[in-house]
Amino acid sequence: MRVEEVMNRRVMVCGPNDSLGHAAQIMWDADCGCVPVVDEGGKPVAMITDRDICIAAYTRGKTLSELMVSGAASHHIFTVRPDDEIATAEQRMRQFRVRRLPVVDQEGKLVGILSVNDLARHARAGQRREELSAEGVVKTLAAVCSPRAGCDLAR
Amino acid sequence: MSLQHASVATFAEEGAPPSEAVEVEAEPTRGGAFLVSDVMTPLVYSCSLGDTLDRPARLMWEHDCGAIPVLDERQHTVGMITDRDICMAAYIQGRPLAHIAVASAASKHVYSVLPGAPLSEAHHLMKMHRVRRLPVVDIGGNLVGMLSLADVLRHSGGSLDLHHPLHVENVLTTLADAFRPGASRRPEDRG
Repeated sequence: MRVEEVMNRRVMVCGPNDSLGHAAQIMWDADCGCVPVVDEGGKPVAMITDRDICIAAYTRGKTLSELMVSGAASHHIFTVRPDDEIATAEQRMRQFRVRRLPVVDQEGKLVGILSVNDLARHARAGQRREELSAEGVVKTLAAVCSPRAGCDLAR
Repeated sequence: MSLQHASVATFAEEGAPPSEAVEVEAEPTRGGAFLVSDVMTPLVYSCSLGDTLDRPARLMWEHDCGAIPVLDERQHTVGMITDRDICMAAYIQGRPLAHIAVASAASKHVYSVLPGAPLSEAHHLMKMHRVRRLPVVDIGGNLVGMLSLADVLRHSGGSLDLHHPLHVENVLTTLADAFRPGASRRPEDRG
């Protein structure tokens, strides 16, 4: 099973020079907690989460409209290709302890996003697929959410 | 907000970081069934209804957590506030965190579990209410810990019985529901 079969293609994005208010508005409208940050060429350069916004609002003490995405987003991004095997994506999530991976084409442009929740939903769908087993997803989640990763499924 | 007032509800050893409590591999207390108190995080940071949002945000930043219980003046748990709640309140209200009341942003529907309850009961509550964290509250109404779906996940591996409430497939269903689009809306918004 490949990444493109499971990934979400309808992804809202923001730019590095947008305000955090704009990123929060996207999260509010789309009811999501993470927005890829793309450059003018459509290539992902960072990811911003609702938690990043919360922490930036605290450490900087300003309103969201006064703060820029580039100052709060995480610039460490780990990507997969649409034709990568799901196992590759799972391995990458476990290794880097991230719940979401931007999916990029050969030119590096964003074409979708793959989250561990997408894996959970597909694994739950019940088809007995060895490549995407419930146990495998739970293992990935346990790795992503181990105490050392400082996350408790909150992100 | 005053730093002196930054009380920490301590229920384990003084000063032990919360992560230590869950890194220890727990053993079931009796007959192979885990109790909530076996796997919960016993050290919990809290804020009060009268605080402003910079206090829970500071606790989240310092202790790397994403949800803080909200206590009333009797120290009873009356709500929960998450990093997402703070982000959205900052967006909607358009003010710095120090000028936004916790009471205006916290979720007032709080589902709690007793420390002596079996883990399967806690999992059932999470599943029913589509929440990923439960404050653990004793019979006197005092906050004694927090239990996350991740804690449940870490103790779900042993069950090979498909009908067992903590079988991986069941935990996965809870997870998929908790993360489905719209799940982050408040219960009152969900109807």
